[in-house]
Amino acid sequence: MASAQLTDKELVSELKRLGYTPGPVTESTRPVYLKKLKKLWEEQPQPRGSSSCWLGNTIQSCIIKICLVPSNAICQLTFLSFSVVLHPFGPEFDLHYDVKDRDLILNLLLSLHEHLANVAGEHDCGDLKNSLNRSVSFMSVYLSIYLSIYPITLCVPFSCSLGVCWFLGRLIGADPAQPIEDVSEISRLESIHPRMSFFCRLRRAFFTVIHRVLFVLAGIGVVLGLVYYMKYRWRKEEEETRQMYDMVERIIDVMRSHNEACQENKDLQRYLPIPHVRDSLVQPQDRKKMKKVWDRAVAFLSANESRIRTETQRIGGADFMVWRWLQPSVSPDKMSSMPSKVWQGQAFPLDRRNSPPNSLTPCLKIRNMFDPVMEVGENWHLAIQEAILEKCSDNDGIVHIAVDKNSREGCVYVKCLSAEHSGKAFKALHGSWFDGKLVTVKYLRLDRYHQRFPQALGCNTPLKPSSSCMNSMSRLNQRSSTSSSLGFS
Amino acid sequence: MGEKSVMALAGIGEVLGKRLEEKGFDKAYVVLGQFLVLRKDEELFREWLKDTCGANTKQQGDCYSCLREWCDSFL
Repeated sequence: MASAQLTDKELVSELKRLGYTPGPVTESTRPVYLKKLKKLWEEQPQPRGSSSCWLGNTIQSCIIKICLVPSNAICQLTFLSFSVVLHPFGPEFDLHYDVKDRDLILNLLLSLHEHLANVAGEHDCGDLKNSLNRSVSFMSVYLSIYLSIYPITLCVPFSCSLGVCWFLGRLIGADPAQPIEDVSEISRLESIHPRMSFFCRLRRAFFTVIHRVLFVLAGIGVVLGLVYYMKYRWRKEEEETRQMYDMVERIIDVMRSHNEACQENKDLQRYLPIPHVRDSLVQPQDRKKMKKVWDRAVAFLSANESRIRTETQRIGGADFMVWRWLQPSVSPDKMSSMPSKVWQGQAFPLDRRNSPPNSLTPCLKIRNMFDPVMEVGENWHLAIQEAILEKCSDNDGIVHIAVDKNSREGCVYVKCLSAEHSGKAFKALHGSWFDGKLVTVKYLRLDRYHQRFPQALGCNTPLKPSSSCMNSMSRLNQRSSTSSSLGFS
Repeated sequence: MGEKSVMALAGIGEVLGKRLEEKGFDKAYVVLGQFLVLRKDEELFREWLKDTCGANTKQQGDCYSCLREWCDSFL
């Protein structure tokens, strides 16, 4: 007889499950309890997903069919209204059982397989909470077979062969991780081809696709975010470095001019306290913002600038870090020191020989204001514009200035409100020295100007220099205030 | 009950008694034991009786009542 009989424990648990509390299962009480179990199963209301009852019913109907057929005649089993001819069990199976048994077995297996698939499919589609629902208790299957086909002994050996069970699906033992060695270890059967409704499959496919697409998008998003962040950081770094160099240059200028002032005025100390320099260069509202830039500039200077030395001096009783300008000036003549973006006077008086008698158009082209090769930084064109505005500060008729950064001649284009204003500007600019270069001006045709600069068509407001300190005019103002007359007048 | 034979039980005559003895239930108290193991369940005990010695309904009922009353009185 088969080894996989219902153990006492299983019998007891089955009975308990059906609501009956049994006593001990002994040799003598066992048959009685089995009968009781069978009766309870039959009495049970048919729940939808219960595998055991279903199987019991189909097998029972199969049995009933068999019994109805006269036992003497050769009975053709018409269980599922077709007979299964193909099976994976090999020729020994055919030899071992005769036709009707074979059909019974195969049909049984087929229905069991389908049922398992349905159970698995239902579980996968519906609630995924209890993973135990996916599989069917082997015992309940066996029970139903055993109890229903009790009189027929053939089903017992077949149902207990491991090969058959493999055909049905996945075998799960008591410990889900271990493989099954023997039939007695099987505790549950699970289908590996779950059968899900079309709608359910559609839904699952849809969700899978959506999830994959989302993952891909998320990956792309992360990569893009990284790229943008790197770009942003890089840009910020560049900006800060540029600001630092700008600050360094301004500090050098201040030191140099202070040095020159010291040349004249021997009472001044030759060094400048660093905080004082900072406070003079950086506006109060910017000090906090520029702190990092300032510190970098200070570090740069102490490491890389040889003409400025950092010392500690005692000023007014407190210790200060100071800078001292070390480079001796080449000559006491301040005119030979490098000019930087300042107007330096008129080269020749304007008369009829070198300028048109009356102003022709409101547009001017100013040449030789700068050398594009020598210019460094981002905003030197603003300094040029400022210089022009400051030179023509009395003339509030300039509405548009454009610095042509790429022109080798250093051209700047200016548009004024009227010909009269441009004439005044002409007189102020033509023939002046700026930054060591001689500036020349000529008139341009208005329509050509508008062709070149269409944005000037709408400009009507006069432009003013942005700061009132008039840096580019400092030389001229200085010279006019002192009585010394040097150089080029 | 003591050592009374199984035929002392109500409903169990010679034939049934012999069958029971063959199965190993030679004394009344053994059958009582079986009755108690079946938790004094009427249906199960009847079933068991029928399977073991082929008792008919009347015999089953008599035996069951007999044992139940004994238990009610003495247990």
